[in-house]
Amino acid sequence: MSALEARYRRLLRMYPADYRRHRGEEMVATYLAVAGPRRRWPSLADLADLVAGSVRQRVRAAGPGFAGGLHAAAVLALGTASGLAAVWLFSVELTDPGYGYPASEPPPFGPFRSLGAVVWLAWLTAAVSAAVSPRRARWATASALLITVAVVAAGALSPYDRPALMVLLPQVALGTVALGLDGRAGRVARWTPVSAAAASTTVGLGLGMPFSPLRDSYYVSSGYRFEAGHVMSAAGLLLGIASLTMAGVSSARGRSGGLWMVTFLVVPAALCFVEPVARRVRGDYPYPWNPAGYGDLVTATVGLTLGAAVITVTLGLLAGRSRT
Amino acid sequence: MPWLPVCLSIRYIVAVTNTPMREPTFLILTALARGPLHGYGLISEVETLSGGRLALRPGTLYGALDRLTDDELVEAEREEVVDGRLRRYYRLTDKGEGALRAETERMRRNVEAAEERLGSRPLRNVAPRPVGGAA
Repeated sequence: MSALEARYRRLLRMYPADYRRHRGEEMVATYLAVAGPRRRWPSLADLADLVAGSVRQRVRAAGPGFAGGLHAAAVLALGTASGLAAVWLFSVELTDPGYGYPASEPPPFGPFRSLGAVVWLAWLTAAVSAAVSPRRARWATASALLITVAVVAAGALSPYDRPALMVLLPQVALGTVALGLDGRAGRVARWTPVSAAAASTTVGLGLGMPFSPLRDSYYVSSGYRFEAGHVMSAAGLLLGIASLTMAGVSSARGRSGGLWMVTFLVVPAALCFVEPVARRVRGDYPYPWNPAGYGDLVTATVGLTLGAAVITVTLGLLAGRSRT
Repeated sequence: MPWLPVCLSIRYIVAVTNTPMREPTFLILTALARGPLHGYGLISEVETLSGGRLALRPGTLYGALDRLTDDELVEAEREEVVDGRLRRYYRLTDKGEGALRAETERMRRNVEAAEERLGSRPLRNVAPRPVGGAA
């Protein structure tokens, strides 16, 4: 056995054992034929190909509903993420806080209130990319995800403000699921995120306008921490209803992807309810318009994440056993 | 109208999960239309058919063959050992031939529609496309 063949065989261990028994010899022979007689090491392209192929094979081994469920969950996740991005951009970032920017408060970030505008623009770009260039949608989503994570550090290292973590954390969870978006999506899947963003833009503009009849007290947005409770809860509720409805219909038609779809969306949907759960943790208080405290938010986040993780693992085991 | 969300969901689920045939899949089926091929032969033939644009790597090829086998468009025909290396030959099934013909017909109608509309436009000096695309 040559050194190159031994290296290819070691890389093939990324594949499941039963698949290696079925295809291993054939794949090694093909890699060696493609490599030619002079190569001594697998190329970087071979390595990337083997990594991608092994992941695809493990997904395939999970059952026929896994890939379809992941794709559907990714569409709903990106739709929710871009819908939230539109609401935050038009009802918070582009509105005047009403009290100016005193020296004790972070300064505005250009025409925006905070660094959050960069995050929301990145998600809206990902939604547009999914519609007009589906093959690049995953890269755009990954970029938006990185920007969402990076804004936390940017807020700490700069004088500018950033969105609250209870707003960013669900966005990260939604974005992670959205990475499962397949570049081969059909027309409806491609345009769902943009449609969600457009609908949310209408809502956001309605909430952000000073003369909007939807605002009963302040004519400006009081910021993320004051808006997160109802905006995130509404998003989580809509996401839950949409995913359960689609899962129910999918199951009624004998398709197995619905359970996988719900499995992928449990954690992101649960994290949308951090603020109202944190208020419950704190108990009754005389000023319900005050945001929940930091400690209560941490407790709610940990509790919801653990609870959602247990549900996710349970549903995943059920979905894996019920594959057809 | 309680049935409306259900109908919309069914159409939405179908639309979300159905996907068009990708070029590598189309070229793999086209390569097999002439006769059974093994893995390396398929890679070479697809590269020839695409004019050098598409260089399938084995991991990607066998992933595609797995999907095509699951969809009963392709099946393994025979195995042989050459110079101590296993070769497995794949052939196009009747269902695969039908899928290839249907996709070819769909693309042919699109090409005819484009040619008809382009034929009604005034002829202009069109610069030849550089090989490999614009740098």
